[in-house]
Amino acid sequence: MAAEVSIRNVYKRYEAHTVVHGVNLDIKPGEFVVLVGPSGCGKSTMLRMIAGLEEISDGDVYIDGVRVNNLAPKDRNVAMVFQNYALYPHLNVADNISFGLRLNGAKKDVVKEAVRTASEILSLQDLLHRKPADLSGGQRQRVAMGRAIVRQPKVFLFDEPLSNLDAKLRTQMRAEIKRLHVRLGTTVAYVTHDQIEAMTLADRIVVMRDGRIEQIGAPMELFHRPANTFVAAFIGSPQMNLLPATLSIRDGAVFAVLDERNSLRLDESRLPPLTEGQEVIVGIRPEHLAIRGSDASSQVGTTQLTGEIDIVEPLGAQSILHTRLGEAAVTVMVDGLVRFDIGQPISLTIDAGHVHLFDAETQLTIPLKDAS
Amino acid sequence: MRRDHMLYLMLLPVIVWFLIFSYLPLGGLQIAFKQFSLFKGITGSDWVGTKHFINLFQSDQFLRAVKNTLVISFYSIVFAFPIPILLAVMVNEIQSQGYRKAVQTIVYLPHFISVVIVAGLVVSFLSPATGVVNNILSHMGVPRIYFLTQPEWFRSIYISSNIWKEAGFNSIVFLASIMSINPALYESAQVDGATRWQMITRITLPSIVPTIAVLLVIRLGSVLEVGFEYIILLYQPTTYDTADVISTYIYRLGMQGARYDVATAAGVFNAGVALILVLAANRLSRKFARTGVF
Ligand SMILES: Nc1ncnc2c1ncn2[C@@H]1O[C@H](COP(=O)(O)OP(=O)(O)OP(=O)(O)O)[C@@H](O)[C@H]1O
Ligand SMILES: [Mg+2]
Repeated sequence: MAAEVSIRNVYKRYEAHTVVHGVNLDIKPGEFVVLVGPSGCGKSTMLRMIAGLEEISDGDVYIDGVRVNNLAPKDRNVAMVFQNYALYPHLNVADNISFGLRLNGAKKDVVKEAVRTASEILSLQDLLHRKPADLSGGQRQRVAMGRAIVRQPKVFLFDEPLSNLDAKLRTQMRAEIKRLHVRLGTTVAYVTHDQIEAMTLADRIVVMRDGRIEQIGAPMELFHRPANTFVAAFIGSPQMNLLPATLSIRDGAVFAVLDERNSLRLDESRLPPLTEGQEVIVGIRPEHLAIRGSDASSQVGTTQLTGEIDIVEPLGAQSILHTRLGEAAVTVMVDGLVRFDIGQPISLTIDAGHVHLFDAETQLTIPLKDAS
Repeated sequence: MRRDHMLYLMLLPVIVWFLIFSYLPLGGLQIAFKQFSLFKGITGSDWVGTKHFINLFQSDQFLRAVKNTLVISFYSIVFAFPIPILLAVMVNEIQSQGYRKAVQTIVYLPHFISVVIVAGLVVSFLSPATGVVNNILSHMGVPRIYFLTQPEWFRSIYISSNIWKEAGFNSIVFLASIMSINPALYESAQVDGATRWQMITRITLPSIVPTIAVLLVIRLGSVLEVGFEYIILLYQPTTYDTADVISTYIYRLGMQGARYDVATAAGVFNAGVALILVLAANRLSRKFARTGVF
């Protein structure tokens, strides 16, 4: 039932300007793939080309080995869930769910059975006679999914299905979508610009920028080994600190010099050959920085940086400190119980095992060996 | 009230206009119940009670006018009301932007032509000796028809030329209503395998039902209003049987016959019934379409 989707060198052009530049992507049968990226990067366009709502300017899309470029949407065996749900306001929930079946002249008892099954899966049984206007956002979202389910498609396409919901409901519906995928096992292509949604739902994440794929990989792979600064900044929240630095090699020890006061000792055993004076970007996640306790002696492999606190954002269990290190702004995640004041000078400790390094010119990652 | 005093100030000219031109003349309605004499004036004339009303209802001409008004209105609703809806749906289906704009402009245009000119066009097209229509008919071997002097043709001519003139313009509100339908509904239906025809019957039309309902109800509330000038321009004594409506009857009685009191009585009757119809229509609209005009 689940189908494989292959996207081969696909382009989308609107007259002069190109919005998708030669994308290649293989979605395995039953896989949950999430496309993320900033607004306007072409996520929806990709999805709509798979659905057949948008013409493919160049390249090929295969569903289950069949080239679908010239197939009408209905012949591609896909179902799409839209951001604003696209429910028919004049039809009740049951009729909305069965709309596609009835269009194609399905028998009454088939329709009834399909609606029953779908409404059970989505716990919509008690709402079947309501109009969309009388439903809550989450219920509408479920109806939209019900409409996709009854058609038993080979591929589900979701375009930001949760972005109109409030934070709590979003978390809840996220879990429901995950459950649905586990239950049905259908291939899913899911668009969002929320990286938490991507991390929690995806088997694999596709990070896009300006119509190009920046990186494809499992959520943890993107988190631990981002291919470039863009992916590094995009995945993870609060986002990774990216600090420009110059390399300095003294007696075989490699330092990343941030400014005249702060430099960072790198773990030489993890480094590839580098040159003195090379411009790099140092990437450190906020949770890998710690405020140095007054009595902590400097251990091997850790470095201290000094600066002052700009803003404190308490989240409860943790607090986010926005600090200033010379020119650079650095975000630090700290224990929420400790009190900090604005303007307070601080000293930060970094575990060199968690440092990422990027080439300043290409913005590409400089691969480091895993810390042993 | 204090906060909005500038707004009330701006409203003032309109209120004054209404007082002078709409409410003050209401006083003149009293002559419907008087034996009006130009020499005695409106207030000085003698009261006669409902005499004029009783006379009207005993007059065949007045009853004929009431019947004609209702029949013309009824046929207008049956034939002229649905056409702008169809037109809007058809225009909406046009894919090419340029072609669509051209079509819209062409169908809106007749609305801006004065009724006098439209009547002139109709008269010359239907002329028995030189009109296009009769020329074509005679080519096909059909004898020439005196369209405008035969009562049985009047309603068809009146209604069809009105459709030509107003259908395009009246379609604007339906088109606006169609444009406001969420495009994702069509995309979703497309993925579900809907044909263009199914999209029209299952999405477009159901989505504009509220608009249709409101406009239909408003239209029902004005069944006593027919295009007075246009009828005056098209009718003649030989077609009074089907063409004479309440407003034209009042006009002839009052302006040409100088029977101001009887004409006013007819007008009061007309206005009274119209008021009831409008109120009823509004209630219906509130009930079925959940929106009213007031
Ligand atoms: N009909 C169109 N004509 C021209 N350009 C278009 C058209 N539709 C989309 N684009 C452009 O294509 C690019 C990609 O759009 P797309 O909707 O795929 O972005 P997205 O990644 O889904 O963004 P968002 O997160 O805001 O939904 C945008 O720059 C947009 O301006
Ligand atoms: Mg989008």
